[in-house]
Amino acid sequence: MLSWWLPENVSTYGQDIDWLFGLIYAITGVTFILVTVAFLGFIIVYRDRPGRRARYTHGNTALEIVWTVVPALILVILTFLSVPAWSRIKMTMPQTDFVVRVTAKQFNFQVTYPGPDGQFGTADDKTFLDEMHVPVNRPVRVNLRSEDVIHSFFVPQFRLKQDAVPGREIPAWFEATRPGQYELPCAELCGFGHSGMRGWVYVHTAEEYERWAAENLRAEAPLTTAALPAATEGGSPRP
Amino acid sequence: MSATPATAHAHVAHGGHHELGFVRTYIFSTDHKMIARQFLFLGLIMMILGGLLALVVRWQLAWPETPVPGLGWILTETGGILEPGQYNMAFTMHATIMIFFVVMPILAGAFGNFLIPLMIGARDMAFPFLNMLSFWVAAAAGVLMLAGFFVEGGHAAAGWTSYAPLSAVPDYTGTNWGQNLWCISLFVLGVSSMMGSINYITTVINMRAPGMKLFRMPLVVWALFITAILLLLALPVLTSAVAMLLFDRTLGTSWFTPSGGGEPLLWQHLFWYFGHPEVYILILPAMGIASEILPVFARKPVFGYHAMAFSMIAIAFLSWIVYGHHMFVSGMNPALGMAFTVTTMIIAVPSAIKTFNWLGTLWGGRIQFTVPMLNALAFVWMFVIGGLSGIFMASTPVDIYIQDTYYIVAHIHYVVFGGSIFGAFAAIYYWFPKMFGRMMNTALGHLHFWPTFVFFNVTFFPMHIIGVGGHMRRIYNPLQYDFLQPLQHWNVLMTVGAICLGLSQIPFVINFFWSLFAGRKAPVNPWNANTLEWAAPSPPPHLNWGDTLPTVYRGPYEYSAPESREDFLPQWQPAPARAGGGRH
Amino acid sequence: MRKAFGAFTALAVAAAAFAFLGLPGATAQGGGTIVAEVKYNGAPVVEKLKINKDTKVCGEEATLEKVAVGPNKGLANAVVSVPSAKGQAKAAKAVIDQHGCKFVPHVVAMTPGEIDIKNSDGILHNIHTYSSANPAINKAQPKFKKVMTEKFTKPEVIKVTCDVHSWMLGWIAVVPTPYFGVTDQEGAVKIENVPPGKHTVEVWHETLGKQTKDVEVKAGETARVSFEMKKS
Repeated sequence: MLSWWLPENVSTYGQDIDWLFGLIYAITGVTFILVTVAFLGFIIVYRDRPGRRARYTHGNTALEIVWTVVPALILVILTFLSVPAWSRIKMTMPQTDFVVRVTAKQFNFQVTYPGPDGQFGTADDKTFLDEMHVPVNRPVRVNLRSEDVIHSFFVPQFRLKQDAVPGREIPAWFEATRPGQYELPCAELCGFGHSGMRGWVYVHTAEEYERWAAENLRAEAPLTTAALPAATEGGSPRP
Repeated sequence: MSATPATAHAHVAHGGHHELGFVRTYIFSTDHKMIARQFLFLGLIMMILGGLLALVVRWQLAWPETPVPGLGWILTETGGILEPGQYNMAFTMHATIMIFFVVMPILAGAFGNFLIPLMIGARDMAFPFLNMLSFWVAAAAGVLMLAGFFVEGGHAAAGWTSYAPLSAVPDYTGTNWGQNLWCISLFVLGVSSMMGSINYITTVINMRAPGMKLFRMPLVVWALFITAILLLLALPVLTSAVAMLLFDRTLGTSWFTPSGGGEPLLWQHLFWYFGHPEVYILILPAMGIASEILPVFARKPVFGYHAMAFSMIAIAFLSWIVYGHHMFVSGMNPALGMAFTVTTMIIAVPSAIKTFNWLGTLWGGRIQFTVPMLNALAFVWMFVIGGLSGIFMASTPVDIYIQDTYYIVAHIHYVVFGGSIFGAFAAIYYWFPKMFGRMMNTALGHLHFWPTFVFFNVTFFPMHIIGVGGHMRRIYNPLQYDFLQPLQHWNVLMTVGAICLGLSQIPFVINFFWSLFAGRKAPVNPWNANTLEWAAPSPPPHLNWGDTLPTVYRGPYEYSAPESREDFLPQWQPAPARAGGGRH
Repeated sequence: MRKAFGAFTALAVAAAAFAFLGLPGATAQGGGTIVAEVKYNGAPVVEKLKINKDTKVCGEEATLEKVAVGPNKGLANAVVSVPSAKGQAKAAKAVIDQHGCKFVPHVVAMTPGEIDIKNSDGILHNIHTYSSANPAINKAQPKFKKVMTEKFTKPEVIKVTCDVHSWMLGWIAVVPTPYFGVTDQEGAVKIENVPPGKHTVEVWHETLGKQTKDVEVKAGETARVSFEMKKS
């Protein structure tokens, strides 16, 4: 099937973005149709025909003012409509104790949970490769890091995108509204392995998540990535 | 060397038309018209390379990891299949070449050089020797850029934006001298552009013919003048940034790498501080060209001359304070994002003003569908799409989603191809008679324009759709992602469109070279236009004008004026007997 | 080209000189054998990792054997070499394969020269080396590129990773002598045709470090040497 529109939205603030997108789509769509009708109309009506002289005019100040002020007003209104969503998504962080650290690295996302003690950088941290498990309907804070180049954490269905910049920890958040499995591609060119740098976000129901956490986040959980080779071994010639 | 216009003028006054040798006439020429032709050829040749690179990219996206036809003899190891690094290199160099070696040389280099002195009634640029140097330095930059294809490790592959640290540490891409040459070439090009822009600005300010007041200048001269100011102020920022990047790569500095105390975002700030004015450097000359051609073939004064000029000035001012909209999700302080939203929204206003004034120019006209006019009309229509799609990005929350998707790619191509390239085609068809003294073939012109227009839209419009679907840019193989599978049809369609778009350029190449040698001899003023260049012979001789400079009596767009029986009233013509002076 | 020619000439001259002087070690036939045993008295270190990428080829779980200990406490994947024994380079070209998203073998030893890097997985891998004496390599090896040949001319141990599959780890030990081997599951390795004389045997392991021992090799006889590696 050919698809025409945004992918399904499964995050709380996604609908704010979709609503703005729809609004701008409507405004620009109508503008485009009006301009196109005028444009094609003029081209047809005022095509060169014998015996007719072009209208001699240098402009019209009233018109100039109208078509300066009207677009300016629309755009200013759009700006003000954009502010609340922006401030909700990027400038504030909901109260949450669910914190995950994502360390991007050519060409994988390493997802670290703080473990039972709730602290990062301790022995009970659990790191997973290219997969993140979160409960539904609970705000998740993602602390983004990068070990090498700039990557971007992008979950289309969450309408979330945030670059991971080496040397910084950048917070981002989302709250998923439907359980499921969502793709997490890297959206910033990060080298020849950029294409295919992709993880998964598993959104579980609360019970399912508890079960997963009990199995995988306890101290003696069998699966671990405590030491991924390139991340821990020395000898890197990188400056 | 007739380095100053004063001595140049003296030559003419003494009737001293001594013959210049072949080298001084065709190669190391200081004549602005020859330098313009040189820039034009540089741009057109590079356009072939840039276009082929685009087709390679498109092939890979439609049919990933299959042999690219015709590449088998270069990529012998894989039989023509593109490797991921080579794919990155192809799109990096496509953009680099198209922006720096096609659109800038053709619009700012060729038409800036050709039109400014002729349209303001000067004999040459203010600094002809510097002008010559500017071309040859640009040519050297081109050679350096091409050399990158032949070095070990391949050419730059970090995107035309070359975000650090990917571009700053050779090990991250495996590219070594390719990226270094990329930096060096752009550094050299920055020097060339500085020489050119100083020249343009000085010429426009100091060398206008008697009567050529600032507000009697044709809008394309306004556009090129403003472009030159932007070039003068923006390019040095890029020049310094690429020098810093080169030092990071070769001398061990760490401007952009955090491990040495550097800041990756610094590169983005520097790059986009240059990069956003750069977008207007690419589009302003095309806006000027459209403003020039629409009145001629609507036989009607341009609507709102002052609004047109002031909106370009407004764009130039605003272009310095919008660059942050490229960095909404980069990790920059989100509060700054808010400020950049406001300015970005506002910069759409002057573009809207220009669009409405172009429509106003068409209204009530007597529109002649010549080939330059068709291209100019296509420019207006496609620029509307490119401008409107920009509003989505200005809204920060929406930009979170569409940043780094094909929506951005669609937008830039509607602005730079739909805008700048259609503008360049319009300009070539329109001024070819003056530049080379021969008319271009109309039938071939139609055969070029119509398929180009159709396949341009087939190629680039679906990019909006897949961008909205979340399709990331710069990925090697879309089939690696589950959510992109349903969008792959579009990729195939776009690639077919792109191949047809490429084939549609063949009539242009034939037309260009055939007309160059065998076209109908051009009269002095084939389009019955008003601006000064049409007062000079086709092509204009060295130093352009005869013994005396032309005198300007009125504004540039007096078409169908009631005081004249003809439907045009050239700037250089003294007032017709019937009525008083011109306007403006 | 000229370099190769120069080296060839030097070798030829050296060979002629040895032959003329009748020095021992000029021919391999007259050499002895070294059998080395490498033991480790600790527990094996094996980590497992769940995989989410290219699972059709890589499987669902990766096993990372950081210290592979076999029966009788034999330490596998240790490189044993006799740097003091000089001789002509072996003819066989070193090969490392990427199979099942693992480097196979995990440790490969070679003399300075070329190595074939295979990709039998049919997915995108990349070869990323961490080295100081040789130029570092970071190259993609797409699925359609079955073999890549690289050159390492300076002796050193080179770490190899694949950034696409970050658990993948391999080692290429470039040793300055043709007398070397990599221990098997039982920690044993046999090095044949070593020129007679007193030699120093060196063992290297990726996490347990280096050890050396002196040994005397007599023509036609087998010299045994054993190492006991400790946590470094």
